[in-house]
This record gives sequence, structure tokens and C-alpha cells, in this order.
Amino acid sequence: MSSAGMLDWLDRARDPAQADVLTQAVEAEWRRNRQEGLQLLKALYFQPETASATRRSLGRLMAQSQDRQLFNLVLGHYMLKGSLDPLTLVATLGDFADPSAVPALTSAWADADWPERAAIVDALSHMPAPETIDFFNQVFHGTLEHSGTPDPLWEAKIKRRVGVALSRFLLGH
Amino acid sequence: MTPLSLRQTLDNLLERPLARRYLRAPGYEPMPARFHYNAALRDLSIKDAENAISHLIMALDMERDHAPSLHLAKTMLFGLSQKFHDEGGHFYKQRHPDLSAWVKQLEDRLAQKDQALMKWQNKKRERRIPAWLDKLFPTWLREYESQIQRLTQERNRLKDQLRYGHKMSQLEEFSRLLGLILEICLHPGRYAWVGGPALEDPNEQRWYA
Repeated sequence: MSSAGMLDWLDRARDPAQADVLTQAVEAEWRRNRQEGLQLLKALYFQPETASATRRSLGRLMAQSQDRQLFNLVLGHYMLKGSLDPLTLVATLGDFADPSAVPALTSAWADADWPERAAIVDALSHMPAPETIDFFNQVFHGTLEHSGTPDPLWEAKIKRRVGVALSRFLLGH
Repeated sequence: MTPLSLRQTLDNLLERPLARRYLRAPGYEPMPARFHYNAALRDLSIKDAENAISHLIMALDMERDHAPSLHLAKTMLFGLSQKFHDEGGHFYKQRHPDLSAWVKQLEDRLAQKDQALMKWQNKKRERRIPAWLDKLFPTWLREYESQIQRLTQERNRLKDQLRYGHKMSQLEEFSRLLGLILEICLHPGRYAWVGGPALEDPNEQRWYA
């Protein structure tokens, strides 16, 4: 791909209104040539100026590819707390639904803010593993230590999300 | 007061089929509560709630106040109540207080529909007449096909209701069991009337030989 072509893609990725259209275009590229499509996806997703809505939409496409390298890159970015929006990274990890992300997500709980904690619960709800359920158990009963000020409203929201997530494990979706 | 054995209390309280399903002997030497708790987590991760509850019973039988197991029972109960509510179970409960009886009724009605459907299909198969005659007198064929179509639609509706009924009934069963387990563990005095030997207190003085 020419540098002019790539610049055009990167420009479009900055506009959240183009999220869906851009994702469809990237998907078409991927289906045409998998290797080039994944390179393009990687470049757009990890570009810091990409709009959050666009990154979220690209993340869903990335999860469809089930590409191990991309998954590891997302996980690495999340663990290193880089410049990318953590909520989007967590959501993408949830889309991959790979249980190897569970330790990173559960260990991030203590220092995360409340919106990120809610996103962690949503992401983990797609990763059925004994560690996930043990984690949910601790979250539900408030036995997990965390930094930050208590917030009863968020705590109630998260408790409900944990209940919903656990009910999926009990009887399936 | 010497606590009652959870397994024996449940054995006395539950109906036989439930007791057989949930009070299985582990088949290996007694393990600590933590072992059974981990087994319950593994079961839940593969969506096997029935085995998870069995393992929770084993865990709490070993150690009545094993905190993670009690917590897990409470969390599961919360999740089940939420799911029951979200799926509209409380509306059905108002119309059918006994969900398992309702499921049984649906199963009987489905069996009757299957029989009626088979009867009409056999009638249609047996009454073979030449195609040219069928064109002259199409009425009987139309009537048979309309009956078969009607019965098939009713049967499909019943199957959907039955699937839903099974799900709600199962949710209710799990909730009831978990609620009972928690009550026995947290308020053992309420079940002191249940037959079965209490756990022996080694400090208790015996006055007989």
C-alpha cells in the first residue's frame, strides 16, 4: 500500500462518524488479502489518534480474525498502560474471549477506575474460567482490595453486572 | 450447640430424585473444603450448575463456615434470581405457581399433539387415490393438509413453551436448593428438628458405657 493511501486511512480513522464505514472497508481489504488486511487493521487500531468509536469497531473485527499476534499486542498495550484508551482495550479483549487475558484483567482491578472496572466485568463475562468465577465471587462480596474512593452507585451497577455475567455461566446465554 | 451435618439435613429435607442428583458421594477420600470449592468453580466455568451445587454441598459439609463457598452460593443465588426475573419468570409464576407441574402438563399436551399429528399423517398416507381423481375431488386432501399444518404449528408452539418452562423450572430448582443450603449453614438452629445424628462433639461427656 502506498504511503498516500495509508495516510488517507489514518485520516479517516480519526473521524468517529466514519467508524462503521471504515471498518467495513478494512474488512473488505482483509477478505481480499488477509495479510495486508491485518497489517492495515493493526496500523489503524494502534494509531493513537484513532477515534475511540473507530477503535472499538475495529476491535470487533480484530477479534473475528482470532489472530494471536494481534491479541498479544492488545494485551501488551493494556498491561503496559500506554496512551490508548483502556476501556476500548478491555472491550477488545472481551471480544477475543480468550481466557489467557483473565490474569491481566483481574490484576488491573485494584488500580482501575469505576468505568474500567465495569468494563473488566463485561469483558470477563465472555471468558468462562474458574479464575473468572472466583474473581466475580470476590467482587460481588466486596472482598477485593482496591484503591480509589468507594462509590455505592457504581458498586451496585457492577454487582448487577456480575450477577448477569454469572447467570450466563449458570445456564448459558 | 453441635452443628448438624449438611448432607444429612438435606437428605432429610429434599425429595428423593433431588437428593439422588445433588447428594452424590464424592467417590474419593474426604478432601478439604477448598478442593471442592475449586471443583465447583471448574463446573461453573463449563456451565454445569448441577455439579457445581453438588461440590458446594461437599465443601460446606466439610467446613460449615467456609467463606468462599458461602459467598459463591450467595453470588449464584443472586445471579439466578436476576436471570429468573429478566426472563419473565415471575409472570409465569403468577399463572403457574408450581412450574414443574406446568412443565409436566406441557409434556402431556405435546405427547397428545404428536399422536394426533401422526394419526392425520397416517390417514393422508393411507388414503391414496389416483392423481387425476385427486384433482377432481381435492377437498379431502386440503382438509388433511390443513389439519396437519394446524397441528404442526400448535406442536411447535408447545415445544417453545416447554423449552422455556424447563429453563425456568431449572432456575427455580437451583435457587431453592442454594437458598436451603445457605439457610442450613447460616441458621442451623432452624433445622435442629431434622432427624439424623448430629456430628459428635469429642468434648461431650458420655454417661453410659
